[in-house]
Amino acid sequence: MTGYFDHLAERLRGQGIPEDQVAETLDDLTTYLSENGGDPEVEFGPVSEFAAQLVPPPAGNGGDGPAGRAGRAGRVRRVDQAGPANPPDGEVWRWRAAAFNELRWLETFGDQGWEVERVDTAGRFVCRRDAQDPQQWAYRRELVSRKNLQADTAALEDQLAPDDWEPCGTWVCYAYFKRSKAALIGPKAMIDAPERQPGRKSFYSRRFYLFLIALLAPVAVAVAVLMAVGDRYAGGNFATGALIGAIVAGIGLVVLCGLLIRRAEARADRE
Amino acid sequence: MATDRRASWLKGVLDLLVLAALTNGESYGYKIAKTLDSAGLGQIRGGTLYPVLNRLEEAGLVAAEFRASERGPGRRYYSLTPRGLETLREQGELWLAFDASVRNVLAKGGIG
Repeated sequence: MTGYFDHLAERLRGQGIPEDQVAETLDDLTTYLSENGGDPEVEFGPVSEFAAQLVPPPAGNGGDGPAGRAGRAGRVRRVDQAGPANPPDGEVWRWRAAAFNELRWLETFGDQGWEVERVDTAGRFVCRRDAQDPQQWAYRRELVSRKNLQADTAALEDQLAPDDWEPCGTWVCYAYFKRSKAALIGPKAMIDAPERQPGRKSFYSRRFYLFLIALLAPVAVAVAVLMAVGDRYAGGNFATGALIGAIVAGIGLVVLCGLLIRRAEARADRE
Repeated sequence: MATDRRASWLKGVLDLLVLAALTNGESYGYKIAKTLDSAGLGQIRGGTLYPVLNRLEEAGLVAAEFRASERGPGRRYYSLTPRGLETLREQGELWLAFDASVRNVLAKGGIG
């Protein structure tokens, strides 16, 4: 029973419900269950679903029945809907890595106290490190279907919740989960002297660059073949023209990709 | 099949039933569930009741007050607000009109 309510409290906190309301809700539900008897899972349903139903949806998204139609002037508010408030404590850092090596980096930065809060729309891990009591985090990645991203992630959430894993973001076909290492190693998970925030924001491995080269190799081969046989059939300076064209196209492509990534990151920064 | 149908009927009207259960004064989750059970509506699980109470509170139709207890965990008491009473009257009338229409059609079909 305690396990169920512990998980519920975690979910409610994770959804921005203030601590005093979490405590009141748990007290109320505990009393209900002590009077009614039975198993909390049977009485209230799966933790993730129940927690989601206890949190008000975003404004303008009214539910069925008179309550939904009458608007939402409720007392229960998420912390992030409560108007101006002190920003959460700690440093924030966004970084990216390729799928080949991101788990290694997640482990490294988790050990340095970086807690992933989400994956932004530009594909970067948005991390926070507590200024007062930084602690170590563990991460895992699960493959999910792009078509059923939400359903798959919710199913994994329920499956992994008993082991204290909670979701911290999705990207394309991956769902990421985090767990405080304090649950496993106790006070040893606390960090006395955290390392400085890394200066880099991108962490790509040699394998990633080899993958890129493998992708671009057919294009390079095609250009080389064109240059080798071009002059013979087209005459004149075809090879030189093709080479210049390929270089200009390549530079253009790199510049375009850079601009698109920068634009996506700027948009994600504003979110 | 019969259980599914009852569940879906209840889903459409549970918020009104909860509002109606509060017209005699404030109450709390377990007591509301018992009131509805003893009225013949069957056992309503906490996982169904609490989200409804939460929505009614958000909409300002009920007011909730948490009271600590000396003997154990506290509990949240719910009471009907003037707006809740007004909504209950309005929506209750609509439900009764719907119920009358259903009865008429069933009666023509030889039921009842």
